[in-house]
Amino acid sequence: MMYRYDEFDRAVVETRAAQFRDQVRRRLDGELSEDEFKPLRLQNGLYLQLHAYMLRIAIPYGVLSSDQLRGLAGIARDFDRGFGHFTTRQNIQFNWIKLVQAPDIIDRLATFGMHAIQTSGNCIRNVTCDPLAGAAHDEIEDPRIWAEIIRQWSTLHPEFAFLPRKFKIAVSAGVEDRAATGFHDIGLRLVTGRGGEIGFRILVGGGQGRTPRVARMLATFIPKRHILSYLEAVMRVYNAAGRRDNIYKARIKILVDDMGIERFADAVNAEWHHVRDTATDLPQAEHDRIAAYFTPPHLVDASPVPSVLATARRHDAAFARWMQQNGLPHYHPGYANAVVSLKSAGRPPGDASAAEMEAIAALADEHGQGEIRVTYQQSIIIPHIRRDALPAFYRAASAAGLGGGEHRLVGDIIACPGLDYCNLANARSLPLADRIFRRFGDPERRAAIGRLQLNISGCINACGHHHAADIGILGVDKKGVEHYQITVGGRAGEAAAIGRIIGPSFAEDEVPAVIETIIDTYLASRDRDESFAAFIARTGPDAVKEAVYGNSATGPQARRGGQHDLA
Amino acid sequence: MATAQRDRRRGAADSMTWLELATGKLVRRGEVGHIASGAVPPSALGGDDVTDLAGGALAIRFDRFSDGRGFTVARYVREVLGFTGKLVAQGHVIPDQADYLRRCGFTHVEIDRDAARQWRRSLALAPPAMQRILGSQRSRPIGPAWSDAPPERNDRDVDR
Repeated sequence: MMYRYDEFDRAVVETRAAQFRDQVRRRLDGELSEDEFKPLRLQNGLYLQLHAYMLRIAIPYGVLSSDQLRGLAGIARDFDRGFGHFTTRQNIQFNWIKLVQAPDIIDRLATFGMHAIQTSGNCIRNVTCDPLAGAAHDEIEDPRIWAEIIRQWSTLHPEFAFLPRKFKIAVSAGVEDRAATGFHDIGLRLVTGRGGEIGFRILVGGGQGRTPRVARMLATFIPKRHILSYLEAVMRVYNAAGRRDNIYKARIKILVDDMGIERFADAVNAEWHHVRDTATDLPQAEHDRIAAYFTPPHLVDASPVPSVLATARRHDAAFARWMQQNGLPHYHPGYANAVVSLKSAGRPPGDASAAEMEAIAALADEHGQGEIRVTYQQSIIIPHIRRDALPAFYRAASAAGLGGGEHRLVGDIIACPGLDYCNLANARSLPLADRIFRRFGDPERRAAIGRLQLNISGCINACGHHHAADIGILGVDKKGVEHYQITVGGRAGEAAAIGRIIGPSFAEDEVPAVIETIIDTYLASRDRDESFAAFIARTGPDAVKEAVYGNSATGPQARRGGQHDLA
Repeated sequence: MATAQRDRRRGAADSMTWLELATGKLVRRGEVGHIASGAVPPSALGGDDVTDLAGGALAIRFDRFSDGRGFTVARYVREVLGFTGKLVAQGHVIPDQADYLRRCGFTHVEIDRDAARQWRRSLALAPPAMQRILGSQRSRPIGPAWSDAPPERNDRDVDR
């Protein structure tokens, strides 16, 4: 079902909590300088933001039990302002934390098998995964087993705790890549090789930020038994050779750029030669022990087309719309995976109140298997729901205020916390996300537009994934005024792509209308059933550019947005 | 802090000592045969640099504690070049790195005598190694536990 901490894992998180308490005490006593404390607190998930400390808690590969979610609700209530914020790395963060209370929170987390280890800092971060892992209709094998193995290998790894920069690994095993592997430092896809053997295709050097890169192919097939030694070889090349003189050039993507993918691969293979077939590879017995935690759930023989579902779809248009987008296929035809959207008017994308977290936990207990997944799109998925229970599930979710918002339509916005919280941001993300959400408030219209990913980042660090969006919005500072630059044609997943800037930036007030113009242009010119992504791929950005700026980039509408500031 | 530490070292070289990572004991500083910089790519280290030192001591210098190249150099020296003598961490390292240093193959760290208490404390507070899932040499504890560490933790370390 899901990985459960044994005595050993508990010992790790409890000792780590005691260690962190000691570090906080030494900082408060002045024994540790802020310079020395910083990497220590970061590797325990503690950031200093604009107004307060933020604590980011690891949700390994996005999998939570209902009891854990209730535990997080308790933390929201007792230590924050009653809210938690689910992030694009399948974690949760609390934005109003007091430093002196941080050790108490870490202690509390340990009581229900959670921690904040390596959710920040220049180390291997929480490994992410397909949120449908173990429940998807199209996967080769359950990637959670490998995500868990990589979690254990990378946790407090003695060699890789002081890397040049942060390091993100994603694992995906579906035919569809739902883990954005093309935008990670290392993206792992489980694939079937020649002779039917399953192994990993390894991508390297993807990422967003100020130098966006789609990951490049490092190895087409590495047998599963070698994955840890291979990863160790990649990390070793990066740790030894990655740049440390400039924080903006320290990610592995820059090293891969500088060396070229062939030379980089040669260096990895040279290191791999030293470590493969040694004790660094995972013993089969350990693999089997971990895999045993992920046995499939007990599912009954339920109908794929229950009459109660057909009736509800016919009589309740809102349910039918919800079902169309949020009822995702399951490997068992009588079951589905349900998206509980954390996108609604007035709600920062990914925010959930303590009461809502408890309601989600109850939904998972009552209709699912007590298990919850966090998506990188900042919503929740509850896996393993019988299709005949979906109408009741929807009613219960709606009663808790969680029945709105459609997965992957225009309102399913990814946004960073922006200038409301973050000291790096140039511009606010959350108010703009809300304005755009409201602009497309008509559910029929959202359905007519179809699949469209709209993402907002408050600065060039791109935490809101604007590069990987059909429509991306980037906050820029123009002479002290918040402005927003717009890109189109970005894509996560299979055939990842970086969005292209359509022209000069706009003031906040102008952005919703510009988005509407772009979408109207698409609606007016699309071929039948053509998605927004396919439309942009076919026409390039020119059609929307012209609609937004007129024929010339210096035309009247462009001037409204001011000078060109694409650099 | 980095500067302060360096200044302190310059002013009072006599207060510098070696702490044995396996036991937390202070030992007199010995001669080191070769000082490798964490900034030198491990593959540039010749086997000659270290094989001549069999039974002796090799030091790896950290310019800044947040520059983790020395950890990779240490494992390379141990696992690829097969060095078996004393391996000493020098320069700017902090007590919170004690267990990582030990697990990468360092036997000693050069510290100011005054810092010994916190180094011992950090060693005692170090969580068990998650890399127990591997059959790796480095995931096993080196030497006996220091007196104030719960001993059963290290037993578990070897178990699986």
